[in-house]
Amino acid sequence: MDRIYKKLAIVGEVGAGKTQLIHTISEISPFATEARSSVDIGKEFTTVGIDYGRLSLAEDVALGLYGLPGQKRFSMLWDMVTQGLWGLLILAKYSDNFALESLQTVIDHFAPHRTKVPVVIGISHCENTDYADLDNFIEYLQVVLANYDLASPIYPVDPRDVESSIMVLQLFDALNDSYSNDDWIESDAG
Amino acid sequence: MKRIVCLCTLPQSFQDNLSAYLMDAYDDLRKFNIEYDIKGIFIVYRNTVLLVLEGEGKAVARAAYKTRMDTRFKTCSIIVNCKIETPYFNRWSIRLVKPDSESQQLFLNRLKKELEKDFVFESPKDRKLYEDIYIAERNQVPAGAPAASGAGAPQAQELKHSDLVQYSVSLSAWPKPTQMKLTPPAMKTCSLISNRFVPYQTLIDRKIWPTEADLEQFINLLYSLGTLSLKMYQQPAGVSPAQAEPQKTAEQKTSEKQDRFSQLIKKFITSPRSKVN
Repeated sequence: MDRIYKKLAIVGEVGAGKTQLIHTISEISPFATEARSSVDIGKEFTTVGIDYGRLSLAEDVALGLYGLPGQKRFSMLWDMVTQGLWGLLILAKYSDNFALESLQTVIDHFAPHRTKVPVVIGISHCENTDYADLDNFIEYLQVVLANYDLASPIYPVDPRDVESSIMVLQLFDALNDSYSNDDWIESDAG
Repeated sequence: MKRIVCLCTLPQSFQDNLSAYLMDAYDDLRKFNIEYDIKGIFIVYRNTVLLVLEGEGKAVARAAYKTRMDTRFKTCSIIVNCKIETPYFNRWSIRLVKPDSESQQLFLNRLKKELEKDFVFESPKDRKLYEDIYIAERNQVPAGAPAASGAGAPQAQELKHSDLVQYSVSLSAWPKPTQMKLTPPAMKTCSLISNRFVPYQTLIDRKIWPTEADLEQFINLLYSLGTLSLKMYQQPAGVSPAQAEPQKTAEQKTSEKQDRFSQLIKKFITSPRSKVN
């Protein structure tokens, strides 16, 4: 029987919570490529390559979790996961200074509006944000998505929380059910 | 403290890429306003942008000047320039005028009341542009959709089952988490209708919701949020929406492997704690 291996790409800026989310979902200890940060980014370590986690759903069925840095200079890493992509999670760290360009860069690269890969935008670090500010941030992101004719879910995600992280999978499952993907079966990379 | 309201128009030549164009303009102003602590709103309706700027006098004047000089706007008229005791806004935000959104209509009407005493329209054209933003709320009912109850009715009419079955529905933006709790049926429904028209009858046939009344209630909620578009269902000759559905699902028929992955991920989702570390 052919093995079924799908990929979930988790792209986000420094400190968005990619590594933590993989740690929360993955059954294996994530293979993390973290290095001590040379500048003050609010934390000691940051991802400099791909974080990898895995969720085995059966002996021959698995979901690979790929945490990818959100900066454009790492876009060659993004290309490594485009085949067999089950979903693209863009983690947006809630902030007044959120870089709109970075979101556009990721969407431009993965082009979900053309490939029909399901996209979810997860807003992290918004636990203490008041509703009006969160609404405004979402409205702001919705305008960006509208530019690509995308109507994707934009929801708060707490990467430390199991329920919240599972909700992301649930969203992708619902989106995948509504799409038809023919090119999604691939040999296990592992 | 000062308030300046600008009424701007965008060039038609950028119609194809209007959102990107607008976002650039909004984002520039957002950065400027964060730096100078300016609050207000950036309201977009078609080619018109209504900009309310509130804050320290010189800073607001600079923001207005910056906007007037911004070549991304074809025209820019100042329709309010006054001193204020207390600001109306406590943050800087953006809002797109969406058809038939009750909450937006209420918001716009409150804003209109706040602003109208200080209006100075340079030309009748400006007045018309401004009024169009408000009229849009009542007139932009999707073609063929049920009319609002009574002329100028403040609220969109509830969509009844008998009306809905004649339509296809499409979602332009998912509801915000502050607007509703995202339940599994809500997720499935939103996923199905995101940016594509699906006959309402198809949603019934999929039995996503426990009852048809639940589906109707959910669709009405989306409609009231202004994120749902309706269009008359284009029935192929001799085929009812109910009959059309099997044909559609056949087109979207998934492979056995896809089904298997989907079943397994669902199984995992419903029993996550037993598997997650």
